[in-house]
Formats: sequence, C-alpha cells, structure tokens
Amino acid sequence: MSEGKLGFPGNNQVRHSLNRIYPLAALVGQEPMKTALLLLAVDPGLGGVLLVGEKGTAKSTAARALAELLPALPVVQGCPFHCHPENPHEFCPHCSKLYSADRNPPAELKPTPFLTLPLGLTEDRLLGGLDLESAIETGRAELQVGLLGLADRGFLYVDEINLLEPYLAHLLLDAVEFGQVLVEREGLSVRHPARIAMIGSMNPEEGPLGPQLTDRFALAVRVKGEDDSAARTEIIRRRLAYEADPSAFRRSWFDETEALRRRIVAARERLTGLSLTPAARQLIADLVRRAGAKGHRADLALARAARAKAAWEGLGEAGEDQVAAVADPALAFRRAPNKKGRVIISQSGKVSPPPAQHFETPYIPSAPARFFQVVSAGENGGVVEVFRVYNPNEAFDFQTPTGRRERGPRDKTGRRSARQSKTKRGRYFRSSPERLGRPVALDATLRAAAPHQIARRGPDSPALVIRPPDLREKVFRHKTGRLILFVVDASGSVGRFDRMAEAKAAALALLSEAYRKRDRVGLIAFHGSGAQVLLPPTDSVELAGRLLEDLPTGGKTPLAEALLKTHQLVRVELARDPGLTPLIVLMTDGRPNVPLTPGADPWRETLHLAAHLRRDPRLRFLLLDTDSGHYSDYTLVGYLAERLEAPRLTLEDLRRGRLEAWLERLEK
Amino acid sequence: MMANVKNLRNTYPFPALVGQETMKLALILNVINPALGGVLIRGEKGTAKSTAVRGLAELLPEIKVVKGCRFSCDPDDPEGWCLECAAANPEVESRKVRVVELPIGATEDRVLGTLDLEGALTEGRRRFEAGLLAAAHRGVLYVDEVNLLDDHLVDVLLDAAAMGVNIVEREGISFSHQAKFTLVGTMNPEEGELRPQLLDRFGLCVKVEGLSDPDQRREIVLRRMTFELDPAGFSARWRQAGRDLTDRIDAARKILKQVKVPEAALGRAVDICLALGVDGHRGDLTVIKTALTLAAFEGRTRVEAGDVDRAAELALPHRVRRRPFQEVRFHVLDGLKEAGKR
Repeated sequence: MSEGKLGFPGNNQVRHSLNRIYPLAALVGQEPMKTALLLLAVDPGLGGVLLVGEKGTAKSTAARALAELLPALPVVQGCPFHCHPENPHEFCPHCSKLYSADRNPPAELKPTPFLTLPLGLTEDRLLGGLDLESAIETGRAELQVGLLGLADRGFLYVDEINLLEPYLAHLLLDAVEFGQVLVEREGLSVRHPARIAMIGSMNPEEGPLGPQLTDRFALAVRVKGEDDSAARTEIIRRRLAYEADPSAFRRSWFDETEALRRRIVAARERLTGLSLTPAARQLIADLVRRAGAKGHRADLALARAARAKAAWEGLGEAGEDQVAAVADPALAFRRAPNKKGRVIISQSGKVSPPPAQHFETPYIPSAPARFFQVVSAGENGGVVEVFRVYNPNEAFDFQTPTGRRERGPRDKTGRRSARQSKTKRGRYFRSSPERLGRPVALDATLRAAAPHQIARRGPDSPALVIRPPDLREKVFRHKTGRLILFVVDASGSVGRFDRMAEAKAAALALLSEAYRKRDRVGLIAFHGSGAQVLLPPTDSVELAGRLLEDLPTGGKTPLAEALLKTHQLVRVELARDPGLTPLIVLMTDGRPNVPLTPGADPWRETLHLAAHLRRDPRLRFLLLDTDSGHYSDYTLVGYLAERLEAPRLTLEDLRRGRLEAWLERLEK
Repeated sequence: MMANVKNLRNTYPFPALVGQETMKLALILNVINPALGGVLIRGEKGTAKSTAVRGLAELLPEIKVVKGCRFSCDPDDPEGWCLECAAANPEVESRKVRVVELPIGATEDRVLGTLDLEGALTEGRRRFEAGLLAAAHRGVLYVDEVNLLDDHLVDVLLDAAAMGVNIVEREGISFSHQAKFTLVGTMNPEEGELRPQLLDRFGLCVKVEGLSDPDQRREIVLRRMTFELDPAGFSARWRQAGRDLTDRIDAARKILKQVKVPEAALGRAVDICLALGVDGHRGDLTVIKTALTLAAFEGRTRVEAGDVDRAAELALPHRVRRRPFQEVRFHVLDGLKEAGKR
C-alpha cells in the first residue's frame, strides 16, 4: 500500500507527539508567552502568535504543548477539510456540492489539527497538488490536500520561521490572512478554506523575519530565560523528572492540564457576543496612534486579543485593563521604526522608571529598547504620555525614504539579491516547467505526466510513459544575499577623542541599512597585536550589532593583518558563491603601526595588500575615515582610498547623509 | 547502509589513542547517556578528531530493534512505532548502535528522505525512501567539518534535532518518522564558526590540541606506524583494553538511572550558569545530566560537588556568551572566578 494514503500527515505527526507533550502547566514562569498562546487557543481567529527568543527558552516546548489543550471540533463527516456543520455559508467546494443550505450534513467530532511545518518543505506539500496515484489509475485530476488544507480550523506551528524559504513563508501567511487557498496547478483549480491559527518561533540570532511577515502575526512575545535561581532549579528538576518518565510526569500534571482545557472551552463560549467598552476602544485608538503602527492590523489585533483576554478571565466585557494587558505583545513589534517613543500610562501622569524587562526589538539593531509599558490603567483611564528616548544613533538615522525602496531588482520579500539560483545548490522548494538544465524534479514531472497515462498506455508500455513536455526542473534557493563586511579599527588612536563612539554609531546605522535590505553581514575587528573575525558572514544583523556595541578599543593598529584576514575570509565566501559582490566597509583612521612581518614597514605592507585586494573586480570598498582631523597629514587613509579605488567618507559626511547618496549610486 | 562507518575495516582502536582525555571522556559520556545531546570537537587538523569518532563505533552497545525496520523502531516502545511496525507483528533483533556519517556535500533529499524513484516509475506509487536521518535514529549522526555544512542542511538538521522527529512534506511525500540521534561534529575553528542555534544543539564541547609532550608525540607516531604495518595485529593487541572500557560503559549504563542529584548540586549548576550568563536553560540541564553520567562512569550513584564543576567544563564552553576578542573559553570556571571578583 502506498504511504500517501496510509500516512495522512495530520495523523502521523500526532502519533509521534501527543503522548510525549511536556504539559504547558508544568512550564515554570514565561507568563507572557503562555498567555499569548492561550489567547490564541481561546480565539484562533486572532491569526497568529510569534515567539521571539534565544535558544533553549522553551519556545517550541510551549508551542507544541498547546496541541493537547485544544477542544475537539464539530466537522462535516467526510469533508477533506474541517467544515463546520452549522456554517453552510463557509462550506468548502466538497461540502457545498453535497449539502445545500436546508439539508443538515452529518456531523462528527474531530481533534483540532495541530501540524508542524518543516523547513525542508516544498511548495506542492504546502498548497497541495495533483494526487499522483489517482491520476495514473483513473486519469482524473484530484487534489492531494496540502498542509494548509489539512490544518483548516486548526493550528500550524513553524519553528525557526525566519529560516523558512521566503517564497513559502509568503504563501503561508497569505493563506492564513485570507483564510483560504487557491490551488492553480497541474490542471487543478480549487479554492478551499484554510482557517488557520499560526504559531511561529524564531531565534533572532539566526537572522530577522521581514517586517511584512511579522506584521501578519497578531501578537509577538519576546521570550527570555528565567534568571531567578530558584526558578531555574525548578526548571531542571521538572525536566529531569519528565525525561526519566514522561508518562508519569504527564499524569502528575493531569489535573492542571484538564483545568486549562476546561478554561479554554469556557472562554470560547463566553467570547461570542463579548464586546469592548467604549473606554477600551478609545484606549486602543490612542495606543495604536502613539505606536505609529501602519494599517489596521494593529487595531484589530489589539481589540481581538483584549476580547480573548476578557473571556479568559471570565469577564462579560473587555475593558481598559484587558487592552493594557495585551498592548505590549500586540504593539511593541509594530511600532514605526522612526517612533522613538514609549507610551507610559499612569494615573498621575508621572514618569515611571524604565522597566526591568525590555522588549528588546530583535528587528532593528540600532534601536535600543523602546516599548509600550502600561504602568496602571486607572479607573479613569489614566493619562497617556509619550516620552522621547534619546538615541545616540539618531544623527545617523538615514532611513531610505519609502518611495525609493520599491526600485531595484528585488523580489517581494525586499531581499535585494537573494536569488533563485541557476545552479543545483541550495534548497529545492518548488518546480518549474522552464528548461534551464537544472536537476529534474521527479515528483513534479510525474504529476505532469500522470493525467495522460490512460491515453498513452499501450500494450507493451511501461507503467508510466513520460514525454519531454512533462519534464519539470527543481528550483533552488541559494541563501546568499549581498555581503557587507565590516573591517573595524578598534585601536587606541581611534578610541581617543570619542571617535570610536561615533564610528560605532555609523557602523550600527549601516547595519540597520543592511537589515532593511536583508544583506548578510560579517565583522572583522583589529586592535592590539591582531585582527580577528568576530562574526563570520551571517544573516544575523542583531548579533553583529551586539558584538559591535561590546567592542573594546585600545592598543596598536595592525591594519595589514586586518587586510590579510579580509582577503582570507572573502576568498572563502567567493569560493562558495562566485556570483557574490562583497562590499567591504573599512573603518579606520589610517595609522597602521604593527607590521605583519617583524621589522617590515607597516605602511608599505598595508598599501601592498590593498592593491592586491583591489585585483578582484568583484570586491567593492568603502572607506570610513574615523580620523579626528587633528593629524590628517599623518594618515594613510587617502592613499588607501586610492589603492582600493574606494570612496572616502568622513564622519562629518555621514552626518550630512552622504552615505545614503553613495549607497544609492552603488545600487545602480 | 552506505554511510555507515561502522563497517569500515581497519578502524584505529579507541583505547590506543594517546592523550586527548577530555575528548575521549566526552565521547564515552555520550555513549553511556545518549540524552546528553552529543559533542562538538574543535581542533586543528591532524588531532585525531575523526579517528576518535570512528573508533567510537566499536564501543557502542547493542540495542534491540524491530527486525528489518527502516526506522530502527524500539520493540519496547509501541507508542513510537512507525506505521509499518504498527501494522505488522514485529520481530525483534539486536544490533550495535550505528554511527551514520553525514557528508557535508549531501543533498537535502538524501538527508531527509525522498520520493522513491523505482516505486514511482514502475508502479506509479508514491513511496517514501528513507534518508540519513532515518538511518541515524537511536544512533550517532557524525558530521565531519560541521562548520562547512551548507546553511539549508543545517536548517533541516536543526529541525529534526529539535523535535526528535523528521517531518517530510516535500516532493509529493507526506511522511514523518522518529529521528533521535546523538549529534557528533568535528570542526577546525580556523575555517569558520558554527551558527548559534546549531552550536546550542551540541550537548558538550571539547577542544583538542596537538600534544606538546615529546614522549607522547613519539608514542603517537610509534603506535600509528605499528597500526599501519599490521592493522589486524595492532587491533588484536588493543582488544582487551577495548573490552575493559566497554564493560565499564555497560556498568555505568546500568546504574545511570539510579544516580541521585542532591539539591546542592542543582543549585551549583544553576549558579554557574547564571554567573557565566548562559542563554536559555539547556545549559543548566546539560550540566546536571553530564554530572549524573560522570558519577555513573565512576561507579557512584550520587552526584558530588566536583562532578558538577567537571560537567560545567564540558557542557558550557560553547554556551558562554563571548565578548569580542575572546576565544571560546575552555576553562569556564576560571571565568566564574573572575565574575565572582567583579
């Protein structure tokens, strides 16, 4: 028997996991994360919850734990999706063909689907595609339902969602937003429901998730490890007990788990007809306006989450307290990038001290913690105050105006140069009938050939007759964007005159730019006796930002070694991806005083290496002159710029926005 | 199985390795307790990293599997059986734990599994052809030069490692099977670092260095030459040492479940992790599990204070947040003392 029929994936995934779940009730602390997940369970219509946090903070444990708390669904018997028997106006094509509005369809109870979406996913399994076997046997085009269809009225979990192929991520989040999928492929044309609650989790160190994608989530929670030692001890104790005997551990938490389950059911019943008080509506409008969040997703998310919160608390209506309780997860990640405000509500209008737990935004590294903290929404609604937070990077905030972003050869993810590679490297995520000599996508080819088998079958033909027009090729995504390599002088001479602070600010600003363009970044720093690759090329602009902020300064200037390290690193990168055109941003005041070879002239060595680097036409350079101007006759920067054929910008130029103009030119 | 390094002839015997005690200990602890989560071995070329991993295969214990099962199902865990075992009445057989090598040039479909070509072409059937992750279930997955692994392979590896399940939704195939493996990686840090999420998936991290003691170096060369002249004879001479080690490992495996952790040891582990600023909670847990395993290896059923400190040196080097210009620290407790001073 074929596995496609035997192993219906919903079933299969559940088999492995449901009796091994770590109970949500047994998770120590992590209240904001637990609340967000439970609110999604109460109102799956919220759409999605994003969990952002470092490794090992129980993100995926919590997300998976939700699966066993979800109440069973009444569904139409035999429906390939999960149509609700009492909702005829939302029927899928299958159900609306069989049951007219006046005829009650047979109903049954099914467990709520909870599916995990793997990173190795291909498009046909996400959207669904032609059912190969029935096409070959009967010649009829039938849909092999994809994960989006299988998860209808259920939950989809994506771990490491920032690593999901961007094309697939868009298909996924579009479907979640519109609640339906349109399959137009291999002669099929089916529109079917996909009412899905999404849970995504990610570690920001592995790279960002684009703003267009994050915005699709209703709530985002910043997850942190517990730093209280009693709590941490308890975490280990419970985890050891669980691993020693999962069933016994689960039994010991049965009552708590059952209580959560019942509370979800009760909250769902209360949710219908639950409304927001006028004051709560007003607060939502205020908060969203202050946040500068664009579009109406923020209002909607805040309102829905507040209602779910009220239902969860057993209340009859949602008031300001409920809005306040969900303001941080609903708004913190949506605030406009140029809003440097925090909203603090207090009865007296007093400034409250900065909160201990920041929502450190993982998205833009130059942004220090800015978030919404509701101190106390008093009985009278409280006073809303906005405070500007001084940002040392402000002078360099050269955000690209919106109009210009649309230009240039980018795909819709905003990634400037991530490309569908013409080679066979990278991840296979979809197929194409275009013949470019890429490897054959067997599955897609077979699907293309399948419907014709009955017509092609002769007495002596093999089981399958494939003709050239059936051939489909694999489309790979090779995960390299542009590369910006920062080579930063952290020597004592730069450290003087507070130049380093400004240089770091400039580099951080460049990093935000890299973030917006989804470039990869790398970091080489040099001081004292050596140069070091602090960050090999990575997607994680955040990690680069953190390293840069922590960068100590002092000591001599081994510029020659820095250029050598640059050369070595760039050579490896170019070997991996010959199409790469790395941009090397060299930040120095140009006073090398450590030779590579003992006794040699460091100036001469540096210029020699620079000329050598210049020989590869793929490399481009930018020189940021961090010199204070005090000893300009003593610096090498001018000569270096000449050898590297690099534009030379001073910190003064940066402040005047000349870097922006230069980057603009670079793109053309 | 093509990638099964167990079958390679002429494996240099593990006990004959000179020095490198920390690396050997880390590997042995993972054999005793597969729940430790594997080990990352960092070091320059020619420091016997791969030799040690290949020699490890000889030390691995026997496990019970369902006879003929592609996914090495555990006969004692019917809840976790694959669909094939669940449908049939499985027979039991015993075999050694496998070491499966993941070559860095592997393709995604070989790793995850893919559409079975033959079944599709000859019968028009959609069948799952199992990949390396299936072969590695309940065994060791070994990645040489793990830092050079392509990003997209790292992604799928992380996915499977995180869940212990390989979910395949590709090429018309919808299938999932268990994939719990001990991840062993070797790397030369000069050729690049690992991504943080993957780094965290390794339970332990050790550094190997070329030995500087002239006597030891001489001994290495001598043994290597003897081995190359007469591999069979050399292996025979080391067989007893190997058996002794295997016996000790077996004894440790037997008492592992009985090892008790006093509260003070838990507190010590948490204090160390907090003082060193270790992200998340996997560090704490791995320190404790390593301490448990160390106690078992030494035939004790109670964790002592020294166990936790030794465990921290193995489980934390790659989890301590590094500041710029700081190498991965292999003596993490020195850092603790510094932190205490501050």
